[in-house]
Amino acid sequence: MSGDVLLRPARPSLRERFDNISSSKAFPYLLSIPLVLVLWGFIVSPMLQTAGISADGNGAAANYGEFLNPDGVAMRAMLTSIGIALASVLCCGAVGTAMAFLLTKFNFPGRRLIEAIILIPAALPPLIGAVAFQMLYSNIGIVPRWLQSVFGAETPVLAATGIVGVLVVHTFTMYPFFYLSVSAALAGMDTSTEEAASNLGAGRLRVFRTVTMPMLTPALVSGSLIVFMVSMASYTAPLLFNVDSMMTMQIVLNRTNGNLPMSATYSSMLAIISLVFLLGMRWYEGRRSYRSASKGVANHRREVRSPLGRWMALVGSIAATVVLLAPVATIALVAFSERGSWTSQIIPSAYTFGNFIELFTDERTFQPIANSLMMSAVATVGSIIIGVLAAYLTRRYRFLGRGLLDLAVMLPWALPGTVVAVNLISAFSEANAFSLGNVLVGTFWILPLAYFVRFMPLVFRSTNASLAQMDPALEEAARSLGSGWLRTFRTVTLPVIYRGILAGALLAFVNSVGEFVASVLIYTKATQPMSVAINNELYAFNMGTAAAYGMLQVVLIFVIMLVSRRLESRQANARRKS
Amino acid sequence: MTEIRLVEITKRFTRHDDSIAVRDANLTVSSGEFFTLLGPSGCGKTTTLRMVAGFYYPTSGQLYFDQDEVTRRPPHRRGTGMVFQNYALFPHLSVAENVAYGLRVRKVDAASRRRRIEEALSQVHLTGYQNRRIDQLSGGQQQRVALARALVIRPRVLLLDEPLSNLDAKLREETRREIRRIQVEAGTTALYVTHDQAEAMAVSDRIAVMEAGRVHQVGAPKEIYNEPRTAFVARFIGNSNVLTADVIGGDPDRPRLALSAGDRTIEFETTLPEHVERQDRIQLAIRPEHLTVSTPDSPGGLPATVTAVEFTGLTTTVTALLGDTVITVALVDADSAPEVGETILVTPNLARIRAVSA
Repeated sequence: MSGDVLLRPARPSLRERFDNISSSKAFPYLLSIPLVLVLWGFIVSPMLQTAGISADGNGAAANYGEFLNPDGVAMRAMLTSIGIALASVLCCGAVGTAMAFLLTKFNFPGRRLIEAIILIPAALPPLIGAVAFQMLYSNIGIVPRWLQSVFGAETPVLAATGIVGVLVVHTFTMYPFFYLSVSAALAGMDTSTEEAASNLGAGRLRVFRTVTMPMLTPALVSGSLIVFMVSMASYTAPLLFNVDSMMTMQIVLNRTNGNLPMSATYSSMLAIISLVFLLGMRWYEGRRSYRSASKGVANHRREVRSPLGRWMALVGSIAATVVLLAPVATIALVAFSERGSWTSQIIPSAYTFGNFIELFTDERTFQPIANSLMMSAVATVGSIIIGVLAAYLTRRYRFLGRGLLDLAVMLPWALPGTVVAVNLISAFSEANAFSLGNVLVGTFWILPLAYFVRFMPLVFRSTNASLAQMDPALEEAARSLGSGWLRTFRTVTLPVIYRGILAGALLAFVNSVGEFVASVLIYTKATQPMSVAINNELYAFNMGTAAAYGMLQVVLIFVIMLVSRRLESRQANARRKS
Repeated sequence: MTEIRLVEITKRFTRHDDSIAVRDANLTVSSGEFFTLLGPSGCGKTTTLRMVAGFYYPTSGQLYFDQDEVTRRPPHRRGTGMVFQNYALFPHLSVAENVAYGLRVRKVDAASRRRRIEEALSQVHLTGYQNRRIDQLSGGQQQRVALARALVIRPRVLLLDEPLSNLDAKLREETRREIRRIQVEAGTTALYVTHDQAEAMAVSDRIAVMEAGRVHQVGAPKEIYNEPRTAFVARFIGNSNVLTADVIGGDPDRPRLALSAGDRTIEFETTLPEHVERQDRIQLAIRPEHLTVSTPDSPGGLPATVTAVEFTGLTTTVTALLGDTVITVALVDADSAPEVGETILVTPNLARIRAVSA
């Protein structure tokens, strides 16, 4: 026997016993125990408790009967929600797909600039985005009022109000779902298939109809599913444009009016729709997608050459740039405006740093900033622990119930924030085992919990993607060199995937800081987060303070986006080189 | 130095269609031997290697390192050194840190660690590369780091899973000689997996030829080449033709056989090896270079129709249809090659014919 073989004592040591457990078939089950407890306690069971409450009051039959009554408020809310969702899919599909085609298939003046800023409107936190669009395009907005003065009209011109306003917000904030999936599909598409079709005699239109479109179908379907669901879950846009007849709004209105069972009924129905959507999405993505086996000739952008085309492209690019940057510019503009300087004017008339100074010097306005950072940090730590554990388990092991675990982790990603909040209220208004016998509603802990539930899937997904790219042979190499499970995880797995974890964690953090939809239902005065503060300042017509908070969030988002982009490109570089 | 013994090892994967990856494998790799598992993809060779490494546990059977039963011991307590097909070098660690990994696990002190890393790297001719990042190395260099990492722990057993398949042809030959040299120097027992028979022949002390989870034959390279036991081994090693002959009389151990095609028959006697079943029909292996071709008007030989003629440099390969069997003939003289579609007569060198089992 050679020198370094580990000596084995006659009786197994504690370490050896752990070794034996960690390579036994029971190990994944052992690892999944904490995961199952957390998922059950904070996600599945609260959802079931909401379903339980929906059977209170006049009973399940009456509640759901009322809901399904064709002439009732609920039915109208559901139909409106679905109608807006469908319209959003159409608008986002048209804008997003067109953008993807223009930017991947053509080269024209201004293309690079637009590519760099195209995701900005969608990167804004939901509340800030909606507020910016309200300040821009509603009947108190900058654009309609400017048009009014230009045309000397009685009322603001082309003001987006009500459902139209909601659709404008949805289109501007959700088209990236189409843009990203379609441009990824176009980039992954082997252009030689199109060349083959035209070589066989198909005209440009026919090539598009018979080759390009079918290959884009998976991207379009997944884009549609996501936009539909995000739109169903949308709460801030209808709130700011006063569209009460939507499901999310009705959940909150019923709650405010004290009709908890009805609020729970709406929540349960919306949860069921979300679950169906998640399953549909899974099913669709599980099918084979049209990925070209070979890359063939690299995608070649067609240069726009004709003078007229170049002029149009230039004008279009400038217009697009203005439209894309307008929301952030508006928030910035208002953030520097003096209080009371923006009433009947098109844009504020006086400017100051006062709003920002006040944010950091006034205890009352600083508290929400501290709250948000604190609560988001707590939620992010939890998300990392659970998200990484879940990703590692479902990626590395095959065990009974793995599919169900995977689904339970992703479920909160599909649940509207409003529903998450209602679920947590249902579960934690009373003491239970998972809250360690405490009532969580009304305490500090309920908000971090909501952030954790909503954004843990982001860490899970990002870690999962990193793990998928990591060769399992790396772990095997470590094992065969004598490293136990824990050591292998610590010295090989974590260092290799940490960029993925970090990217997911940053995303979870920044989303938590911007979270509004769930927060507004469960915050208390002492734990008021930034986004709720923004909403309250808006109600008090402190536009400047609200926008200053908004600017802080925007800056935070841009910093984190830059960091994640660096992380991503480093990871891509490392892969390309090895 | 360690002997590896596989006793009645079977591996069944339940998640797929209940397929049996390895069936009743009995193998003994002697201490210090370079032993190769050779076979086409899906034959169970990698599964067998991974069972020795501990990444799979066998469904039944036992595995011993010397007297030590390791059948269900976790991989990290087996003391094996493995070189992976894609090397599996840790991308976040430098060359030296990769090599140090196993030493750190074994709590080797810093001074001897440094010395042993230096030794190992000089053994694979990578002295001075300690601080390189993995992505700064060429494929061949990465391969050698992987080898150094596996050897530096002085493993009981060195396991190599197709370690050359990612290298280009020239580097492959150089590296296999290097691997063999280092293995002899270190005196480690080596278990090597490959699908390349030339590679297996060149480096191995002994080879086990596997197909569909079954070990067909174990033996020294020459033995396997010259005395294939089964039709599969005959075909896989040296591309033998396998023809079926009828027994028409004679002694059971040395029957009289008839090979027929078209209107012609060749009769002859051959001695059956012990393992070949005494049946009415016997399978015969004959190498392409032991067949000769003549024109249809000549005496003797079996008629065949030429379907392809390929000039490969050293020889010309003629593919022909003999009855319903596809045969290949290697001709040294390219000028005498027939045309496609032509009917030729094929005559086997009877002294080189060998009976094989299915």
